[in-house]
Amino acid sequence: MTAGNKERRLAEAFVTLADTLVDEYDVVDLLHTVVELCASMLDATDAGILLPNSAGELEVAASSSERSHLIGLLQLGEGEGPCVDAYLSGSLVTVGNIAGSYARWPSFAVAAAESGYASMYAIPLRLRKDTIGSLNLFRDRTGGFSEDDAVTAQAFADIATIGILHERSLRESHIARSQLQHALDSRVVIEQAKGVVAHTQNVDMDVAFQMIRTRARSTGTRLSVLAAHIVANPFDETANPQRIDP
Amino acid sequence: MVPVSDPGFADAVAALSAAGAAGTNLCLPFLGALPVSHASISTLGAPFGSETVCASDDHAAGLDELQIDFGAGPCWDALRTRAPFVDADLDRASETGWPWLRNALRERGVRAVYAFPLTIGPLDVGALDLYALEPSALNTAQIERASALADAATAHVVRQVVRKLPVAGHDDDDDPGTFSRREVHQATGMIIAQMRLNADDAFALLRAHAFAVGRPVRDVAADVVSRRIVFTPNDGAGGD
Repeated sequence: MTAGNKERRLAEAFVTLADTLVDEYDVVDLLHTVVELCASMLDATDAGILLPNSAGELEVAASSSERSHLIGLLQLGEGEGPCVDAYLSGSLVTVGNIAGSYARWPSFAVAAAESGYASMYAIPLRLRKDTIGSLNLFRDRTGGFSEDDAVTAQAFADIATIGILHERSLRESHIARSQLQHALDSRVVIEQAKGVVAHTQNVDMDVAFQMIRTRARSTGTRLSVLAAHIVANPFDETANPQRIDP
Repeated sequence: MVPVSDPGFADAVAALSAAGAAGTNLCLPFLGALPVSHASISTLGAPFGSETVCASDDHAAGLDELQIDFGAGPCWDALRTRAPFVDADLDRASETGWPWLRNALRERGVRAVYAFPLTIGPLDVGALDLYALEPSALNTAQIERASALADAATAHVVRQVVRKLPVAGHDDDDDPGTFSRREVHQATGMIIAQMRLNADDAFALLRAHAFAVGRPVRDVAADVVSRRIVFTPNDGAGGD
């Protein structure tokens, strides 16, 4: 393709990626788009993204091919392959000739050669000091990528990083909002429960509150949970606090 | 944009942050910065619940309570649309859906009302209401100034509301504050038990009774809590 043509396609690719970063987006979709664009735009045979799971183990989050050899290459352990090393070191790992890397990563060199990959490029997904994963590009020829492709690949890696972090911050803000909502809702429901108990036990609000609190403590129930139960079941004698006569 | 050299505006912002830090009245700074006689701020709807946060005076508190009880009006409209709402002349016919509320505001001497939404990102917080005793439209610069001040007040409003939340593990029954609607929730609970209704229906009944007798919901709720008003399934509300 001509240089102008390629620039236009790249611009379109970035617009596509930016468009996917809207409010409610699926980060998995975004990562798949990134690896597909890498494979098609960068003259890479295959591409894959590694992210740590909740246990801290690296897993394939997206790959341009489901072929097991690619998955296996991506997930080789620390010191056994460039994909994990790029993540752990936070530095770019370039392997211009995989056959020549036998001394450093023997199992990687053998497995990659068997799969027909001759060179690769492992880019850390990094924001300032934090590395959150790696973007890995494989080619069937030696020599690695041109400087242009390296710049473009870094831009794709940045998009993936922003996408992942954006999704996390959205999720965290949802959690913060639901916690706030819970605190605010329980304020209302506790007052309502006091009213229910004040009527059913014929006591004033202070006594009603003491009764609910005593009941919550003696049964190890959270005050807001007990209050919600009382409001939903105002005549449930097993849940309602009993009057303690002096 | 509001010009940075605008001294009235700068004073109002300074007064707002001082009031925010001290936990004192956030509504007073608006009176000096804009041609209005009364100001009130309330949280509205989810997630913070509907409650007056501050009022420049008792009259403003009453006007705010009217809108909260009614469940509709300029402040609700401003928050729903996330845009300023201006009713420049309450004597003139209007397309708004609350002729009863406009009439009630007029009876209390208000001739113009301006409402500004309080929001943080996607979060709906509430609204600022400003009331004038003469018909008057705010000009563009005044609307921008009021909007900017409302934005400046929002964080303080949220902080005051969150500060009043019960702290986990400390379920002590502390001071509810001047405008607390907690007796409304307590009365709702009593009506749940008296009428065997769910919480939404019990509250609707309380509110309907208040409108029927022309009293604020908080006043009726206080009577329910003190058992001066008792709801019974056959007769509805009755007093002793």
